Amino acid sequence: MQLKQLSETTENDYSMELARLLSNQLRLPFCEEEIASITLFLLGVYSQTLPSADPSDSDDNSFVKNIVTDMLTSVDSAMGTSLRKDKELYAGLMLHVKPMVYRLLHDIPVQNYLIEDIKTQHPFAYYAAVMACNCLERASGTSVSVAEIGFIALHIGAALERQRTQPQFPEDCIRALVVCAGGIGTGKILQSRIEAELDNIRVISVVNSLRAQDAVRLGADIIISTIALQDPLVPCAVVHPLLPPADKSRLRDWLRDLPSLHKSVVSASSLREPIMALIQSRYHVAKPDSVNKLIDAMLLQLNPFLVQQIQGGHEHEPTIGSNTGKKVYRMTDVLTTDCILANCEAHNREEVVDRVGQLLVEAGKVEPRYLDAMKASLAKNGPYMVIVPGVALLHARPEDGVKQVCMSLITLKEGVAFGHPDNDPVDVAIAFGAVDQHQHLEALADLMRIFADDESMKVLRHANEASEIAKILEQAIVKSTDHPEKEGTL
Amino acid sequence: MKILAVCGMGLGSSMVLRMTIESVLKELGVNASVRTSDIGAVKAESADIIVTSSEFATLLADKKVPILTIKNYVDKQEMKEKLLSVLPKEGE
Repeated sequence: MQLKQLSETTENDYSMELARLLSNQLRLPFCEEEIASITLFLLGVYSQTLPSADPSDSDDNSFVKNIVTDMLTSVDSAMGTSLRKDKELYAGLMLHVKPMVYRLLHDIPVQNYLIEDIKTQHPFAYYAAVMACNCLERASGTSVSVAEIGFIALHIGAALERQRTQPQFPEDCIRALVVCAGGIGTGKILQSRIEAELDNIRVISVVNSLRAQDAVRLGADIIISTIALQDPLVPCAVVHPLLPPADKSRLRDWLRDLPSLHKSVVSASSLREPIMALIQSRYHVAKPDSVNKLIDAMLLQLNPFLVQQIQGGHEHEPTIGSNTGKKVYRMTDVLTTDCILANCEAHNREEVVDRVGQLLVEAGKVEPRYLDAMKASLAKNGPYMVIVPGVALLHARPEDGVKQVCMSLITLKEGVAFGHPDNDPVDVAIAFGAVDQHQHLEALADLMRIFADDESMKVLRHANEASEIAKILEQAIVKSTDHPEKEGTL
Repeated sequence: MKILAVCGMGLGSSMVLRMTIESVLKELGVNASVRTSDIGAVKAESADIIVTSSEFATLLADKKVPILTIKNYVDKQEMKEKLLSVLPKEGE
């Protein structure tokens, strides 16, 4: 592409402006070639607007349009698909191909970390993408890298999944917000995978991680994300973008166990009238329609919290966190007798992890790989997990295979050295699994009360039966609740 | 006043630390916010006091704030003594 052609693009205006600002700042002149190379980089970056929205550069767009149409036509005719009819695919490719052409013409490399997964798990989509890219190669006169083909395969794969999916969703389906790191491609393919594999989930939108907090505004029940999120407002699961079978079954289990989804959702309309009546009893409402809309919006935001309020009150139902509105578990909810073992034998800290972690695996609460993650964390971060003399608090991250909030406890016949300068040897080990940053906290606080109570710890260390330990724990909780001033107000 | 409890993953030990710190602060009548962080994210956090274990303390040496290393995470006496050594004195 020549300098003249580059200078006619919109991006060139931006790079001229950038160059002007920079040369003012640095007191250095920018030559035409420098500006052109800035333009190239701008062109090589994803454009977030649809090309058709900007009628001014129609020549440029018609070139891209022709390529995209050619690509889809050649795949359709060779493989018997009907990709041309898929408007979402067309729009997605229009967005993708324009910067891609610039990348090809100017040898700007891209990285595609998913490429091996795409090739092995979606060979058909990959093959289709190879054919589509043949058209691109002919049109641009350059060769297309495997990484670039992989991105096209993501778009095509998503379209193929869409065609397999029945567009009918049941009324009581779960509304999911799909979150991905930044791009559109991975989120879209995850959406298609979810909709193809899990028929009770409806993806309401795909956003990047910066917009994950929109979940409430969009009315999402859950977030399904390709990356871990800080403090998500609704329950969040992290999965691989291609949703491999293991992640799929994990997601299914997680959804089944997710308490807030056993719906008794407060529908916005059921509360709107009483709230309106309350307002009207005290004020004159000038614009009832506008106020109703505001009430609906407010109820929508409140919904995730209201669901859980209504579900409370059952005898064994976990209690409600006062400030987060999320479900929290007390220690006695999670540390059940089957997750306790007395007088275990272990020779080193890895064996301790195996013993205490195995209880969670056997109870079906974590995947076996969680044990490896706990050991890896111990190896990486050192023995700090021995947080109290003789007591190790072992865990890994939610995404390492935790199916539900859980906790297990073992006592050891003989103390094991963890390498802690002060708190060795360890003779009590706790393993726990968290699903987010909140739901396990109350159980952890219960546990801390026991650790701080020397008397209970002494009895616990001498207990010979799991049931005995369970009883001690329960009594310690009651004791600390009865005498909060004595035990402190943790 | 911002206190940051730091551990390997920001899920377990630092949460325990936070609970102990909050309970001690309440006892002392000191008003401070206590947040948790994992060792990877701590670089982006600002704090007036950091509370953690000795192995993480060495990694945080570049932070120009007092770093308290705690042996027993549930020992309120230890926490109280160490906090008092760095808390501003005018409240007393």
